[in-house]
Amino acid sequence: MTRRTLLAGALGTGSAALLGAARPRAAASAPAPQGRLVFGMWQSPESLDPGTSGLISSGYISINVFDPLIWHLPGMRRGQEYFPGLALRWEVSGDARRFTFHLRRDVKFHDGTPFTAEAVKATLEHIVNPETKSRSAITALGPYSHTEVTGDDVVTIVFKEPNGAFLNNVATSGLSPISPAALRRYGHQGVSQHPVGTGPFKFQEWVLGNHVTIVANPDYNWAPPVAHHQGPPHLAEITFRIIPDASTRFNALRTGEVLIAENLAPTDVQGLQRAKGYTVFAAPVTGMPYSIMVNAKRPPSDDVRVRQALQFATNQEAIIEALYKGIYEPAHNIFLPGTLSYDPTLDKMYRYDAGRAKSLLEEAGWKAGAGGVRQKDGQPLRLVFINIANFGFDQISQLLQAQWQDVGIQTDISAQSFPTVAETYNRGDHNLADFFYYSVDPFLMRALYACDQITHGFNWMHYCDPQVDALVAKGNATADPSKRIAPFREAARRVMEAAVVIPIYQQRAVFDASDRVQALRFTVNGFPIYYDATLRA
Amino acid sequence: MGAFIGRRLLASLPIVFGVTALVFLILHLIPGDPAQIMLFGTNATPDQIAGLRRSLGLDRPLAVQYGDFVWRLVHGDLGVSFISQRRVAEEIGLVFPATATLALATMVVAATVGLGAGVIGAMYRGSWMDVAGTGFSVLGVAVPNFWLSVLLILVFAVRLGWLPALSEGGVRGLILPSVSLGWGFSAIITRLCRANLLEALAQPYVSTAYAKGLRAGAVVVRHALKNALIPVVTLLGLQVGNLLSGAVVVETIFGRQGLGSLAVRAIQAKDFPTIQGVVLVVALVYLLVNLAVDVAYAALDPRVRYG
Repeated sequence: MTRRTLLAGALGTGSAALLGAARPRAAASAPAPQGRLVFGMWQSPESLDPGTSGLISSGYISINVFDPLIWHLPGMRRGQEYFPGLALRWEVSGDARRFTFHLRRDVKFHDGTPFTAEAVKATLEHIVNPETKSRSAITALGPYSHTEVTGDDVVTIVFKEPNGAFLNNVATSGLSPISPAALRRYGHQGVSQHPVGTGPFKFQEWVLGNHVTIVANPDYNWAPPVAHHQGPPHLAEITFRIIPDASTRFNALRTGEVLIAENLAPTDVQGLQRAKGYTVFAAPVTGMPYSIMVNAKRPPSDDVRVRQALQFATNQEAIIEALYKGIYEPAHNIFLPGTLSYDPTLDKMYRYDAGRAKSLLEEAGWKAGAGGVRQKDGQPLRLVFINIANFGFDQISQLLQAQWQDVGIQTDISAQSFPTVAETYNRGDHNLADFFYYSVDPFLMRALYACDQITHGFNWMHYCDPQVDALVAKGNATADPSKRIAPFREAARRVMEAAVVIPIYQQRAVFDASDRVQALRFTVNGFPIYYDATLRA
Repeated sequence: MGAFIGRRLLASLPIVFGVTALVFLILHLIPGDPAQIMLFGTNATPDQIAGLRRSLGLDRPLAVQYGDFVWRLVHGDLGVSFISQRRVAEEIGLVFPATATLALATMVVAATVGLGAGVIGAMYRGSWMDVAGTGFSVLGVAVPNFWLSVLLILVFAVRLGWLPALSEGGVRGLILPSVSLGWGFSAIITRLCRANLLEALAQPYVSTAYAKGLRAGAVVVRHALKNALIPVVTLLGLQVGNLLSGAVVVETIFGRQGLGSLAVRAIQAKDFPTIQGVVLVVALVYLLVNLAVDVAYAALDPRVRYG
């Protein structure tokens, strides 16, 4: 397991799609789909039902098999972020509780049945049905109440509480409509093996533990307006080949058995960047960077001055230089750029300054002691750093250990496997924990920093600030982005002042491909979109 | 013979239940709650987690859970995977042929190379062929299969382009994984076959056979080798366990589906029904293969009689 692992899969709460650049529409008559693309992915999907799965590997497939109601495509067209998908228009009530969508009437599911408002309702009811055992989608859906159908083409989704994050979440594959006929035919569990959507590709076969194949949908004619072309996709077939071992994915890319591979070792990626015949795609993602969470309850990191000293003693640039040069950028913010409400001014709050770190520790009463380790009341300044085993943090933690040693902090590093480590973090046996989080909306703060997420959620910082909770609730009380930014920024500032997160690097979705693969696009969460892609001969 | 097989099968039952009980206990002793893992990242409330635990039947006392498992097992039901929600028997059925194919191919490689090198080593003791065979087998025992797999991929797939790096269906895709896995076993067979054959060749009945005017090949194959094979066959049976654990690694490296990769995924997710199903199937295979080995003795050695 490397970068985007099991937990990453669990954390990926959805994706919004980034299709095509702002180019004029291509001529209507596209050539017949041709070419077979093989994608080497590390993890096997556990379900192909977007309403159930929480894994990135499932998302890679379903974003091409299902269409969202709307597309979230920042940067495609000046002044516009959201584009029609299966819905042509939408309205949101002022209290962010009622979302009304006016649907296209020319869309057909892969099984030939027409797409209507009833399909939206059936899909959402499928997600909230306990029998479905939904994971990511039910979170993306939020405080769902019910769906009102007004005729075939108008649907209103109603929430019990304000759900400002919903527009970003509905633009992910997790909430994309599933054929009601397929839901009836296969049942809430069965659709996980028989995904029937409206997307540019349709499901063909799933050989357990080996591959999933999808093929071009010849009837597809409802691509978002900013796609490069309209009509069926260019590629005839895509095979998602499951290859758990990173070096095997690398070798299969070199032999041409796969044309695109994810999650290779950084050194192999660096090699391919220099090699001829390959393209390295590094798609930006949104959410929270690869970070170290600092426990605000357990001494000695319960002292904010110690936590701030850690921030100043951390040299992210040196870590990138040593491990990820040319692949990732250093991070100095709890949000990744591109996430709504990302505030670049917060990047300046902590920059490497060993002198500041030392004076903060002095101020907190930690004086120079034996062996270069600071002491207070005869106790050494010792931090317990528990890594998630094989999670991509092992080398980072060693570099941090050396950096912090320079200011007199001793760090004891150990590792525990997931999921055992989650219980350890919940109990708070650590001072330092590993973390990152993919999310399409700043409402991710609800899951990470809320007081009620301590001991059973992701608040492994054991950090509670009721003001942050209130600001996050305020930010979600409206769907108007311009009104959402300020409260989330204020909450982010408070979290950063509390110094409970040490951002390390801005992860990207890195895909290494043969240079035959052209016109690949990515969702805001870094999932490849194959609709416009072609294979050069 | 029929009665013998029946008795052996009956005697296997306690072993099977012992294995399942042990695995069941170990699984429940390891920290980590499957319901919490399944709901991880979903912002689930403690109520939702408790609800999922209930629906998975994990809130009941351990003894009741195990009793339920055994009751269903007796009725031929291995349960439903927590993760994929498919029937465990169906999942195992889907991947078992791939592992069985790999195991068989490995055995063919191991037996062919091992017996060949062992016989040549014994017949031409001290020759360069014997030295080469011994060297080959020492390497085979020493080189771990995961390293060999990567090396073979680099040479035969990446450099020379003769064989695929991924193990797809068909014979070409089987060559590298079965050689990676089979070399180590062939080495053990070579050593054992050579030693036993040398011992057999020193027996008086071999001199008698020569004295009757039989050719060397006939003496070795028809008289000496048959006797030398008994311990080799026993060893092959005992190696099935190692073969299946080696398959976990080799399946992963060559991107093959199979029992091994299914088990790894299930363990990572604490998918109790799948883990138990896989362990049960592996235990059954092990018992059946070793029963087959005992039966094979009779064919190899007329002195062995079962009744």
